[in-house]
Amino acid sequence: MDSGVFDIILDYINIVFLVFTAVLFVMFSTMGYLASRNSFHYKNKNSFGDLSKIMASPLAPSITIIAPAYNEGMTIVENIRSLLSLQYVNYEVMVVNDGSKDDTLEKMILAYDLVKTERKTDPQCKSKPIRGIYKSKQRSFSKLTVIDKDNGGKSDALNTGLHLSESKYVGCIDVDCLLLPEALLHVVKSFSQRTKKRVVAVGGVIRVANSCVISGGTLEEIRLPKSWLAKFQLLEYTRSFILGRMAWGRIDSLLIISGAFGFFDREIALVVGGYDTNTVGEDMEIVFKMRRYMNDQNLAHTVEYIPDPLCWTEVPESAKILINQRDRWARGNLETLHKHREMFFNPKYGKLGMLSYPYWFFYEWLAPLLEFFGFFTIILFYFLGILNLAFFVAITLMVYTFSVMFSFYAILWDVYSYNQYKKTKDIFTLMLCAIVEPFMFHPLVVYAAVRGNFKKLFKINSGWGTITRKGFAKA
Amino acid sequence: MQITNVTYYSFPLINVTNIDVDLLWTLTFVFVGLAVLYVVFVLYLKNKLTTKSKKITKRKKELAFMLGDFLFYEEDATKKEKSNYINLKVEIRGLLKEKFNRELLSEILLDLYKDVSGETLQRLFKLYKDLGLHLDAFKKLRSWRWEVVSSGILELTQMQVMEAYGFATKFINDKRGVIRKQAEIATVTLKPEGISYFLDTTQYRISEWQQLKLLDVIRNIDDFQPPQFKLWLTSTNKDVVLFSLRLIKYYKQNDANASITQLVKHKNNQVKTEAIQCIKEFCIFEALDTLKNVFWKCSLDIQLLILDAIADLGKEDEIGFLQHVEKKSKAFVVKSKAISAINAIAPETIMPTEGMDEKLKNESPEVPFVEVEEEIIYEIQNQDNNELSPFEGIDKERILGFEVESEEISDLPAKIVMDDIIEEFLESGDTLLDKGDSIELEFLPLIVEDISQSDSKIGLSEIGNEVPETKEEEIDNKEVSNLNVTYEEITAEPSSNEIVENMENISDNPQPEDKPLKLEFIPLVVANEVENDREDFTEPTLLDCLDYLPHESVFKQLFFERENHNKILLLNTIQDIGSKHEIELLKEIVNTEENMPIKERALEILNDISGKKHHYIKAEARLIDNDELKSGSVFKRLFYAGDLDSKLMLLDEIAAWGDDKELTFLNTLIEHPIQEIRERALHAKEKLQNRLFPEEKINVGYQENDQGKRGEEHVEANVIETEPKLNFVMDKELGSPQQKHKIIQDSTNNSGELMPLEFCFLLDDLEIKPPKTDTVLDVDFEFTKGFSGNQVNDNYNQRALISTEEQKEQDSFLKQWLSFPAKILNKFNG
Repeated sequence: MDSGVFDIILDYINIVFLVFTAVLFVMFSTMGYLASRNSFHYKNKNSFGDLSKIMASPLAPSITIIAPAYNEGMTIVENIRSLLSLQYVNYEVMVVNDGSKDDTLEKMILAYDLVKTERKTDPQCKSKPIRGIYKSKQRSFSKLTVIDKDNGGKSDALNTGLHLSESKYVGCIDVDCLLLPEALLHVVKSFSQRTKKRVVAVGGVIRVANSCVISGGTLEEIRLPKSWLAKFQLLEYTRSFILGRMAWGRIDSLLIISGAFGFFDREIALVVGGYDTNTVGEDMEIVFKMRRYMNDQNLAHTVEYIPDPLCWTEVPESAKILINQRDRWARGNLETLHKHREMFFNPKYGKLGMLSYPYWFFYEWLAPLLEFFGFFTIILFYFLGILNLAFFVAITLMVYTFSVMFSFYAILWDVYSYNQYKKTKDIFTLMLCAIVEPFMFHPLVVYAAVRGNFKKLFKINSGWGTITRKGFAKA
Repeated sequence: MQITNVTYYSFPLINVTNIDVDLLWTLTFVFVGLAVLYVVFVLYLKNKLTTKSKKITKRKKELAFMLGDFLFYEEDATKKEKSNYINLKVEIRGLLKEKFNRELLSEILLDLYKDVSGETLQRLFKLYKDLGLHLDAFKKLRSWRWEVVSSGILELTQMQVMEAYGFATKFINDKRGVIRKQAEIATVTLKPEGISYFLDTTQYRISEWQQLKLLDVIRNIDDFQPPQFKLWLTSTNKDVVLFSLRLIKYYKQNDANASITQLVKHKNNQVKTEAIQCIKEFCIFEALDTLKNVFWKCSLDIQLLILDAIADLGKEDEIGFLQHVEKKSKAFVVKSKAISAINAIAPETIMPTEGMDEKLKNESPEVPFVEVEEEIIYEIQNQDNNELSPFEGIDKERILGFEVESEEISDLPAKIVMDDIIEEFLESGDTLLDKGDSIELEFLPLIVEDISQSDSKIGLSEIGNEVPETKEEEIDNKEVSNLNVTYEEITAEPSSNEIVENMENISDNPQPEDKPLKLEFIPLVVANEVENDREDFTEPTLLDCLDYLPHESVFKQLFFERENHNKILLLNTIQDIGSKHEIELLKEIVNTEENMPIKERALEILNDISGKKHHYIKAEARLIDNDELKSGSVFKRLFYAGDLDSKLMLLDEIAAWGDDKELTFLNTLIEHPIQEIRERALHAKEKLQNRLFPEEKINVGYQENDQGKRGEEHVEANVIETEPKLNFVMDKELGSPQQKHKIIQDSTNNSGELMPLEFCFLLDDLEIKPPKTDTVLDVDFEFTKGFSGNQVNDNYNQRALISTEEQKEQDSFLKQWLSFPAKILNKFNG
């Protein structure tokens, strides 16, 4: 190849990387700023009033919490108990047993004195057949409904719940998540406080519960995880939820709500057809779908984000499980972006189309791929003798220090907002994680993303995988 | 040099910005600097938060203590207390000079506000004002920061500073949302007329959340006299209309029917929803036409609400509309709701059609003589306890006919339908009744026709008197009693001799406690003859039925033809309704039956019915009475329960302590196949005779058989049981009073199953039944460590420490017992 052309190609590659990095810096800095403002605002705004006074109001809207359960026999009884102890007057817990192969259903029946009830189901509901709908004979568990159905995956189970629920709002959560007692009050407030826009969905921050002390379904003591992998994920979640989503929420451009803690306006969720059963990123897809629908209908709407730590979950402590999880996230991301590609730089969708979608495309989907190929390019350049070492070292260090600085900023806001890790040692541990993360944790995430994309692009069948949870520390 | 500093060159195609590496380094250092700064911030923030928190906590403790004295100060206090009070006031005044303390005091009072009530709360408000803290709150209202203004309004509202009402109302239409919302709450809270003012003047929308909070405020105001909220139904602010509707519904102000009806046509769905709910709540019948008119223009949820309202308020005139909806609507939920509404107005207008059996779908119901057929299904559960348990779901509310269908649940091995059994012996011409024990069959309409002549099937609705009377049964009885009843002759034809015999038995064996025999169940229904003459009804007693009672067990033939599990069930039936006629059958079963559980069940029932204790001796395959045992040697039972060593020891004891009863017993042992026993028995007998009859000398010797061998063992193994149950539950605590019976097993073939003699006593004393030793896991009990360790040892040590080393080495019961937890653990550990 002509060396001139080769040089041009190299230079354009450099330009792409540079622009990419520069935009990343700008975006992240902006996000930091927006997140800070939103945090201030949220803190001030929510310092008034006592939520608990509202919990028994006759005007309290109804909420159904849908919790799909698949082979959760070990923890299902305790998890339901936790869900039943939430502070709210008008809610229902709907556990959808998605054809578990273990004794999940039997344990529920035994523990909650369930009996099969007769109830007609909507024939238009395309979910897998329902085997039975169970209610408790005991009044104390009257909020509980258990649906037993054939296995169809998480989305299918959630759709069943969506169809069977009669509440105004539905919450889709992971059954093994721990919700704080006041969680529903926050959710209802978020749904109800807007007057100009219809709140179609409410999401919240997911906190890492590994090593925390849980007793009787309530969080007794917050502790930093013992596992380093969990610590890295804690830092990652802090960055993502405290800065990332807070910022997107500030400019009303949230396009994702975590599947572990997401609440929806049931009417809109049903209108858009519920969860997509053909994707593993159903939590992201439904938000895309709802927002698109509202946009297409010219209906003012928004997605609310609650930064209060209301939902606690256990994160993987094994690299294998983590990779599987991130692999799935990458595939889900790609599937959703592909399905809603019409939004890409489409001014019709406003900030969603011009900012949010492109961010997801470039920095959530493409970035890991670029990183991966960039890494090999550097090696290639080095062996070809065309790597400008001084430049390489300078730019690598710059990117590295930026990432560390950004993580520190996230820790700062976490301390300012919630200050949950009381020990100074814990803060230093998190900072240490921020320093070593780019070398130890980030490569894993990049690898998982590349693997997920590879599987998706080459149509290698892959499902959800399994996540083995160790269970919360009991007091 | 240029090459090292500049990465990008200029190309003719496009000019690429040259990036100076030094810039990158500069940025790197900036980021490092920022990172360090953040670390410092984090540490500072953390330190500040911790210090502040500590300081606040400490100061709050001090101030809360002082405030407590203020709040609970009594007017009629002593001089000293008054003096202290004044000093305290001065002290607090001094503290109030600091802004931090004032803020803290406000905070404490606001905290206390949540926890106190009544007079103390009023004092709290007074104190707040006395300390001049409300002035600080008023100052906040002048701030440019929305959060400060809002907190000022909140403070004044919570401390019930009435003077703040005027200030609050000024903010009611403030463009800053948080301030506005606080002002709205203040307006409504501070004065009763605040709600009217708010509804009159608010120009902004009222969020759902705000409505919720406002309602919460007004429903917590004491003696609140709500204004006529219908006045705001004409507001141009749709949220005011909506909120008013909700308030109308909450305060049940049903004097605005026309307005509410009109609001069903509102373009806003929420207003529509509330209006429909009001219509339903206040039963506004005149709104039905409006509801029907708007129905097809409404969203799905509203349609459902309308149908709900029609179901509640509608009459048969609405059925046409509902049917139309059911046909036309495409939404499943709407169709379903329409059907349910039709059925709510006119019950059972639309019958279920889904899931019907195609074969039965078109069949018209058979109505024999009466209107409804009775279908009673008996389900007998072959539980561990082998008790008859009736199927719970006797779901028929009316019993009008007497054709009973039996339904066999063949796929449930543990369940059979009782009708089969009943039918069989009815076909044999017998009835279930006998003259034995009191039979209470209060449960059923026993409908008996002339069995020999009628084709009608006859069934019992219940067997056994242990079944609690359910509601359904009450209904059944009521309905049955309302039927016109004629007592039909029952044409079973026992011979006159048998009747006499039965009569004699009855007179010989009067019922315990002289209870009249109850046969309340015999309203004998003859077809559907109508005679409303209940006075003629006299409850038949057992004597009335004696003529028809059989003399031999009706179960005999049935029993020996049955499968094992059915035999158990039949035995249960015998236990429930059997009489002394069954004794012979039971004895026969005990002696001939090979299946041990059946045999033991039969023995148990035999003991129940006969009133005597029978025992089964396995080796001889015969029954012996308890009396027979009682008259024998007291050592006999212990002897057969013990192991070889125990037996030998026992023989020595017999020699030392026995009396003439033991001689007979020893005679039987002289032919014992075990030489040691034979010898020891002979020796014991000799000794005993010498002791009892010192004058006589009796020669005893071994009897030899033809082959010159010693006599065969006469008793191979005896099972002496007072309760023939195989499985039992051992209480965790030794000596539980629940364990009244003993099972002592003896098998010379398996020495491992034998017990040392002292254990026989020990177990007797502790009232423990030893487990069946087939497999260790057959035992249904739990061990605790304490039990397996200390408790057993303690008990044992007190009573049975004489056990020899040899006994320990054997696989004794104790050893098994102690090793049980280990075995269980091993099983679990695979």
